[in-house]
Amino acid sequence: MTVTCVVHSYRGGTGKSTTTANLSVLLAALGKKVATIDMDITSPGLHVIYNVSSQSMKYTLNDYIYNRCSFEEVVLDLTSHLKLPRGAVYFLGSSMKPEEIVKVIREGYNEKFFRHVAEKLYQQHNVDYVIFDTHPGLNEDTLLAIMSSDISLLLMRMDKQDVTGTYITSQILKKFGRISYVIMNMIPPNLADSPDLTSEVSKIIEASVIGVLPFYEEVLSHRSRGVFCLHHPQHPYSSQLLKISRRLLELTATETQTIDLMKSK
Amino acid sequence: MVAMSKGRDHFTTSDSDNGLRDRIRAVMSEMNTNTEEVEDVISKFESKLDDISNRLDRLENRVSRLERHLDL
Repeated sequence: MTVTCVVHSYRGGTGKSTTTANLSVLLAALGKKVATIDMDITSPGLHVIYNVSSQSMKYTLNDYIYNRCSFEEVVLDLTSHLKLPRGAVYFLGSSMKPEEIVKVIREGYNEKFFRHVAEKLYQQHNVDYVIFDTHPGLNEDTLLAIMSSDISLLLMRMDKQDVTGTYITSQILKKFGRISYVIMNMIPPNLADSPDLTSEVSKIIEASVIGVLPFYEEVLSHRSRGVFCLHHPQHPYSSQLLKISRRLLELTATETQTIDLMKSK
Repeated sequence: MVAMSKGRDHFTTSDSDNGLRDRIRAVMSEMNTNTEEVEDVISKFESKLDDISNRLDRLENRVSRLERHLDL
């Protein structure tokens, strides 16, 4: 069974794409087949982190939506490109061309789109996880992705704006009966080490925090020039994110029954 | 090269497929958000962060004093 996840945040710049790319590679390292979908239509950039050239990305989701190509022509198998020893990473990108972006903004997405993509990926590639990297904020298309997915991963910095927005987002998701988890990102290192931080923040914002990623100068300096944990597998950031990946595996294994029940409704 | 199809676009929105969008709009418009409650949550968050920070600072000071004591 494929588990669909959405990586989301209330504000921009929280590290969604970086987290998505690194998470995909770490889940693959744990033996999983993962597909990532760049649903940040107005500012796609996941292909940059994966170092996918425009020549390699001949077709995008935009082409598929407008019937200009087959589904298979959009799916890029990045397993060899990323030199992954196990598992697999597939990628479906979005166009950076303004003329394509404005068309999708104007016309939006059909609510069936997200489930359709996940189903195709399961049928054709037997993927274990489909991760949608979304546009920040409470916009309709992003909420559509969230409603169409099994779990949401909400990224949050310690910034007061982020906390406010994450709290509000978690309240909305509760109204829809959605499962959501929070990943705290770019946390001041002294605070990140506190053993109380996760439990206290979970209680206050009423959402489970499944991981804390401290701020690392090296991640900032990496500047999206590739997937960080592939370049720096021993770095504490990679270790922390690996813990989060394992936690995600545990949670989705135990939530399988709940997800199955929700899907059957 | 894929021939340009004149068929229906795959997944652009149409009136008949807006059930979930309508539900999203309905739920959000009926949220009745209590902004004071939100501010209260944030205020608790900030207090808790200050509390954790202060505890960490005190712990660091104690560790420093202990290290100095051990050096003596």
